[in-house]
Amino acid sequence: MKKLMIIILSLFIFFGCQEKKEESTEKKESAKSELQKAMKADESVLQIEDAWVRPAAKNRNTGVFFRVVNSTNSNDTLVAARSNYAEKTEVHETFKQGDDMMGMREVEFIVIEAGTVLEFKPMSYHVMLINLNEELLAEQEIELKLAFKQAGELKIKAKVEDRMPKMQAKEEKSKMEM
Amino acid sequence: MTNNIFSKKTLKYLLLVILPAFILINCGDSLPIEDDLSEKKYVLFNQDSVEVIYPENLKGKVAVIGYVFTNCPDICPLTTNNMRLVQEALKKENITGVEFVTITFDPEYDTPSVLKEYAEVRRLDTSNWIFLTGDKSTTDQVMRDVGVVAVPSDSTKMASGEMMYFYVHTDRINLMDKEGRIRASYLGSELNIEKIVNDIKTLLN
Ligand SMILES: [Cu+2]
Repeated sequence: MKKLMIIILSLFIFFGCQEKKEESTEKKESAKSELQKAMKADESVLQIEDAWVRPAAKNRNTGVFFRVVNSTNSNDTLVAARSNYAEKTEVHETFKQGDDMMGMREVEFIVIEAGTVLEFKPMSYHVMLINLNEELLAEQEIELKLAFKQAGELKIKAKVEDRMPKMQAKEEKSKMEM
Repeated sequence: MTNNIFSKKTLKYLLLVILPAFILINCGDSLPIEDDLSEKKYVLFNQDSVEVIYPENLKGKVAVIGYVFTNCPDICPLTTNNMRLVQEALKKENITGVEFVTITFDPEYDTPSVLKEYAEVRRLDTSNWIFLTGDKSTTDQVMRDVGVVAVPSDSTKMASGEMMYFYVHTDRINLMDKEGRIRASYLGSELNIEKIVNDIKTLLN
């Protein structure tokens, strides 16, 4: 009787106190995103869509996000980004280390394969503006240039917004449903 | 033989029923004490350079704590944004008694005025949100005590000669109870808002 009680009790304690660990569902999506479906078929030049940049104070850093739609027949490579808004403009990627560590690093180039869409988005690629010359507040718009091997230098406009990844996903979903 | 109620046998049965019930109530909500900071008195400063004894000055409130550095362009803004979403969710439900705390692990760069700017450009509601910095040794100790790791990985030399460091860091939001004990950890950039709001309610009750 005593033994049974002890066994039952310890089982209870063991299971009762088991901590439900937050599991990361994050998986870096592959470069060829599902957004392929959203691609416009007849465009024969590289397109940059939906560019936005996070607000930040002067002398601070921020990230620019956008979609590169390559509906051409050849691969293209992003080799540089330029802007007049910051001391340095670099192409970066965010990476995961271990279970819950995050970091970012500069990447020299990114290939956008023919017929694919590559998304620069939170927790993935971004163009990093280091040491801003001025503060960026919501509703403003900035210009920057992306240099591709094939398409050359593309001028883009990015709207200052503080977006969440989920919001983005929703928008995309509704777009696709339309 | 008269005091049947206190007989060994009865006690055993009582134990069998009461203890598991007790365990269920206390552990079933899966908010065990992860780190006890209730006795700690870290001297930190808020975004207005006012001294804050952490977590002493927060006692009596449930605290949502995020760990960031302001030079971070990607993960930390998500953490901060998630905290804002929690703040908004609580407002909607008229839940009070919760304080939001952002602590920097890069205090050399993130002075009070830098943190103030950080909140301002994001138009954050600072009525129940403080941004803490302090001596590097103190913030390092805070991070160590809750198991948040931040290591400078990449660095860039600026024209001014100054080095700018980018950290590889733990992606974390903590929930602290009214007594200053860490009761839950979440991925800061991928927070489940509903879950943390429920956990907050549990700790408020
Ligand atoms: Cu970056």
